[in-house]
Amino acid sequence: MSDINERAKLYSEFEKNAIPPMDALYNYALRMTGNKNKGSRLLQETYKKAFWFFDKLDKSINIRDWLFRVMRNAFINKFSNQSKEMTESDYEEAEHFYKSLKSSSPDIARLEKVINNKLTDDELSEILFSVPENLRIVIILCDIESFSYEEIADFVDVPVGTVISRLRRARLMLFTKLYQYAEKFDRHQ
Amino acid sequence: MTQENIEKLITSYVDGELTESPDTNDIKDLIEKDRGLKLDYSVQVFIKSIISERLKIKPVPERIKNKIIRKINPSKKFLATFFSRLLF
Repeated sequence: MSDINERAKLYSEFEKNAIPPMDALYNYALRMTGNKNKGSRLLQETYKKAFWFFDKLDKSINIRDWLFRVMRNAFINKFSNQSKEMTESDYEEAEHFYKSLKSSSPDIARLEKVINNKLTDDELSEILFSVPENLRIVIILCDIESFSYEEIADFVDVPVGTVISRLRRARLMLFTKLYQYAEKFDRHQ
Repeated sequence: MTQENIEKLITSYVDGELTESPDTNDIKDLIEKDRGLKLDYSVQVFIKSIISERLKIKPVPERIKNKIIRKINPSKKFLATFFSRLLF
């Protein structure tokens, strides 16, 4: 009987602590996997694994941060697409394009108008998904999940300076991709 | 200060994460005086706002949430089955 009570207490404690951050984790899963089915599967895998280890967990730990770590590991093990890992040439190509834009003073207001009026949220998600994983992680955590630099550095296990460099690279790469989208859109008008 | 360090300061400024000197007024000056840095700043503000506004956190669909809870806690599955049998 006491074993049943213990189990019930564990379920209730897990639900109380682990369910509130579920929306944030689901969102991260969607952006990292790029589709709803895989995102849902990653979320389920994360919670299954988290519950296995929950009774051994140091209760002073931040549950949200821990769940994100569990999800990161589940993602690496089952969902990561290694071919999407960034290569220098990927970034050099974007950097080259960005430098050429710099000299021509791009009209950000016009780009904003096209993006706001024509680009759907699904298309934006696809464009974000096309950014290499190591850059995508930092932009999702910073700009969607509102993690601090320290929290991101801790999560991806790199120094804060690297987080900042990756964030800048990710944003410039996204800008380049959105700019190319807007140019293509203009050509078809 | 190296170009790379200045670029990092601009990114930290965009995210409200400047922790040490130079202060925000010095950064604003840098941005105003240098066309390249101004573009870097504008681009990052633009992307940050697009991503945070358009890809906001959405709630987990109830169906998925319930499925996870039932998988973790089998007694919930039992109760759900029990009550659904009572209803139908």
